[in-house]
Amino acid sequence: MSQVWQRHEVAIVGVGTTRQGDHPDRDAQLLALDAFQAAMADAGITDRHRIDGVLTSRQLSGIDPVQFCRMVGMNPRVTGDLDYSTGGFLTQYAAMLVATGTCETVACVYGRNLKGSTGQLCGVSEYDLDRGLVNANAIFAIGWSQYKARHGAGDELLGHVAIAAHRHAARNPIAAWPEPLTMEQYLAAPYVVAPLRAWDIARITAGGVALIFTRREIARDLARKPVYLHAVGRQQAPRLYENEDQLLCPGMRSAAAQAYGAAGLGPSDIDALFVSDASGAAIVHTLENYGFCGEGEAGEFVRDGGIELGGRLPVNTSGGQLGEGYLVGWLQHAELVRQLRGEAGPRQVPGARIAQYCATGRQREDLLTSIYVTE
Amino acid sequence: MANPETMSPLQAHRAELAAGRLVLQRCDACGHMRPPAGWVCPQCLSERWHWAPIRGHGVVEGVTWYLQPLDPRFTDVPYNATLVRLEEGVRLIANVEGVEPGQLQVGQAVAAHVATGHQGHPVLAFRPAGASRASEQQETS
Repeated sequence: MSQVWQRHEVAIVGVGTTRQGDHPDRDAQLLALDAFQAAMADAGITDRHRIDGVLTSRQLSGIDPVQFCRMVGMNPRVTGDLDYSTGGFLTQYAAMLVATGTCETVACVYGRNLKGSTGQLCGVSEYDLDRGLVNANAIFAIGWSQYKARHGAGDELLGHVAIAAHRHAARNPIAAWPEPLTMEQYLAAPYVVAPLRAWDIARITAGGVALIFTRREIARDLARKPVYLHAVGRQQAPRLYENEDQLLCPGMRSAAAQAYGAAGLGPSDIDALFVSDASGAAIVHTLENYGFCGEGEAGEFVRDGGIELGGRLPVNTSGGQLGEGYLVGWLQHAELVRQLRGEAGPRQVPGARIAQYCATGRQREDLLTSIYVTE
Repeated sequence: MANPETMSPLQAHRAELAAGRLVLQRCDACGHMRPPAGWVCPQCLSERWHWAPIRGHGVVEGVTWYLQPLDPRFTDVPYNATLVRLEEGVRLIANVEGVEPGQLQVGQAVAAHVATGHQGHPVLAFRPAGASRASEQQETS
């Protein structure tokens, strides 16, 4: 079924990012401000009052949309947030505001600064607390133990995923963890939430990121090459363990069918893939469920640099959440735009024209994909 | 049934477990069994239910071990969070006790008992099935 997005009526026209890592002197709201100003400059928007929608994520130690607008003295038509507003979910909302004519130009603004946060699960219940089930990565870890048992996967699989993230981060000046990682180092590290190691887990960083969406007619007159939202796929799975193989994210297949079906595209058309990787395991589940490789074949796919720059499918070219910073999917959007504009410098995927973002959230309940293109 | 004025289904389930009864909530109308406890059957939307005894036999479908404390409220590592599929067909997350990290395998049989959970409330927990039988034999000998 076709979607409104194939008409290319909504584009990302500005992206802004701060350095990722420690920011002892700048709180989340100020980091968001830095990114907001960078995104406006990138788009060539000098008057911030042209922006009539401001969306943020409050959760995951983010910022409040109303407080942010007060700080920057704006009265937009719409301020907002979602109950689960990591990068992909909020950006689709922004695109919907533009596509429906509710807003003309929407800024998605996020800042995060909470040292020592434990990455507490969203939607954690009393039932979970009675069992000490408190960290998002424990959910990934249970699923990963299922995957390992089912496919006989070894520890090297996620090692390749982590190594790719660090190789990409080394080419990214804003990345928090650009240090190289070898397989020997990876395997020598102890499990933290077995069978996951610290290298498999996104560590909380401080930083800011902003993205500006607008209508096609406005986008064409702005500074940068528009990057159009081309197709989306969504699947929720709140029934949790009543769903077969919930933690292996089978709902991704539904999201894939929606997006690829609407776009008339398939996995082989994707030039670069971006995954919200709270754990490296998310990348494996994405590769298999979206059909980049067959079930149980990710080990072969990620070996020999398969998901690195120059490989068959570059994944998270800026380092992702394991290498660049943990801004819950937002940084991947900034990188995706830079790739499609041809502005990714030493990380550029030659001729990248079609990029896909995939996310999983909460207890693998929220599954989403967005495909972006240039014309 | 729980009295909504005094007790949530979760609290009522804790009370059942505290009394030593291995039970789960079961829908009166369609028989659907549901952990965690709730007011409404997600299968048929009936609000009528009862506590149904379970045999307590399950199989491990997935497991994680907390080996380093990740949350200041839960520092008593190592402990596991295990996805167990019961013989009755339902899946739940539980702690498996009496087993060391690395010794709990996907596919392993486990048996239920009542234990004290991480917040001090009674919970349905498990032990490896063989170990459970051994301890029962010890208790009866």
